[in-house]
Amino acid sequence: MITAEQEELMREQIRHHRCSDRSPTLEFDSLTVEFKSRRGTARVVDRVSLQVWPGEIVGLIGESGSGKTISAMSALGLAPRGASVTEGDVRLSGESLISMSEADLRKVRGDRLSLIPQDAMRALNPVLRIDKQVGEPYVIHRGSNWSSARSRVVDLLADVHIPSPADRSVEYPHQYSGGMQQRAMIAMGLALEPELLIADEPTTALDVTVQAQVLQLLREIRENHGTAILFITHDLGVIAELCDWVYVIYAGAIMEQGSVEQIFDHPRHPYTDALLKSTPTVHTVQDELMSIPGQIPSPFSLPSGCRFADRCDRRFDKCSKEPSMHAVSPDHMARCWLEVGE
Amino acid sequence: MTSPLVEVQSLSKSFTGSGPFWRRRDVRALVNVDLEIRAGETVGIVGESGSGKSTLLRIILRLMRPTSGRVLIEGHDINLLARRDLRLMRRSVQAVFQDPTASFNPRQSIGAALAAPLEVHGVGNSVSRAEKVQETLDLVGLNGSFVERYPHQLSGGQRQRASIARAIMLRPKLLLADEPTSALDVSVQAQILNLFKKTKSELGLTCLFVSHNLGVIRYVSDKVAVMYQGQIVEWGDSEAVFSNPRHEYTQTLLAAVPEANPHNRSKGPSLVS
Repeated sequence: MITAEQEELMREQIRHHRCSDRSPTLEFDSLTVEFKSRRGTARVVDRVSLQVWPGEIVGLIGESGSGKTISAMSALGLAPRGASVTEGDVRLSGESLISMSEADLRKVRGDRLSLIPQDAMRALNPVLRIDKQVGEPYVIHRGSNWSSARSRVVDLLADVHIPSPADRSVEYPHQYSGGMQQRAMIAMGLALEPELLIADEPTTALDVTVQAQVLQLLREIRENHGTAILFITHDLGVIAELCDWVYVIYAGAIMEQGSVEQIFDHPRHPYTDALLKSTPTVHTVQDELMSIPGQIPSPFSLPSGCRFADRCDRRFDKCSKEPSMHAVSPDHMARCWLEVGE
Repeated sequence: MTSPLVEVQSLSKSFTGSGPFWRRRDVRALVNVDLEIRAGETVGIVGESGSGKSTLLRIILRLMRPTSGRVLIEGHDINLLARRDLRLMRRSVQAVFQDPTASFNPRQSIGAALAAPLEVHGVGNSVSRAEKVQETLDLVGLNGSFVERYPHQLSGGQRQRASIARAIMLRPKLLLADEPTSALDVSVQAQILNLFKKTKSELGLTCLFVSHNLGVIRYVSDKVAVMYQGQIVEWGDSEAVFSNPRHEYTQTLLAAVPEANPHNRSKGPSLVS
């Protein structure tokens, strides 16, 4: 078991490990998002802290209803009506996005940070040509004229490997396949070389072979432009394939975080462990999948203790109190009482 | 060996394409598909979107007629059955679909929805039907209180349990499942897949399981058919297909699946498409 001093040392190492000399590209500082409704207050994001450092690909993994999308949307000031940030802050390279005015936010979005949504078909405007949509950031943010914007669109489409980009750029979204639509969205997101890309399940609607291409493209973007990427997904395989650092979110709270190797080789939170054991894999034989009984607790009535306790096969008396994040190694932390020494 | 429960013989299905008639081209959804399902087996069909896997399942269910070719269930061509025999066939072939929200009537209680197949086929009286509903709910791990509940009061996983219950109410011989877990989270997916396997062995069902998720197919299937552009490009024992894929497409497909192991990252596929 780990003493308090050792743990503080490890926290320090974790900060160091992730380049503490600069400020992170994106930082959630104890972000809390609540919905008010007739049924009461639902805390869908509960004191979430996470960082994405320059050039890093960070995975945020959670099941539906875990709060992964809503936290990203709140960071962009795009939370749905009824949701409000009641606590905490989101900072882009040290600058608060939560206290920013809508006018300033509009300048940041698409310029310094971009979103790649899950469903490219719905995100693209069906009645506008691709060049008109992908080129828009140049016109809006850089005040360039349309003819120069169009020529840059062709380069961008070539960057995301759209074949014969000059011809395809004057087509409409429905003439693109699903994978090409997603690549066009990525091209749009990349137009102004933002510091940060937030990708919200960008491959969930795609076939695996197309998904593999999109993941490869994101890797290239990081290598060529040093773009930091926050990758939101429910797919463990995609995280293992792509990310450097992982946050596991459950019922609105981060349960475990660490380097991708630590999370997959030595999962310390029973939830992460169960997720790994309940995922059917292609590359190995599984006799029986572990199934997690029950379901995610409602955000209207979160348990007072550990929020996974009801479904956990390793719960004990301490779990009726809420655990905090504990360092388990220099690149790994878990929110679980099992990690706490006497 | 016994003769197969289901025989699909050189089945083809074309759909009329869209557009003006001079430019219209038929879409060939299935091209000369042959498949055999033996009693007690689970056959998995895997493929990407547009590969024809759902069309195949819909034709076996007789929700759709093939352009050419035959489907034999217990030796009878399902498209040549007389009305009475068709009713009998429908009793022994049941299905579970992807979206349990869409496949339940929101205004019908779960108990009524489960009793419906028995009523339609005139099985038992109201007392014995209620007993059967209870017994089947029990089998899928839902307690008796669910009889009174309505679909919107159930979670996604519970709803999918209920749709499995409905599909096995008549104790069919053949159970077809079309992406039954793709709308569910992994933790719930595992519950449903385990339930599926358990029900299958307890009731001695024969299953056809369609999914785009290769991991799911590997977990549930004894035999696998890999579909690509309307054709079965690889067919064999599940273990053989997954551990030693022979067809180039299967190899590509398997290589594209991200593995939950950060030490084994793929080198990255070619981006030229």
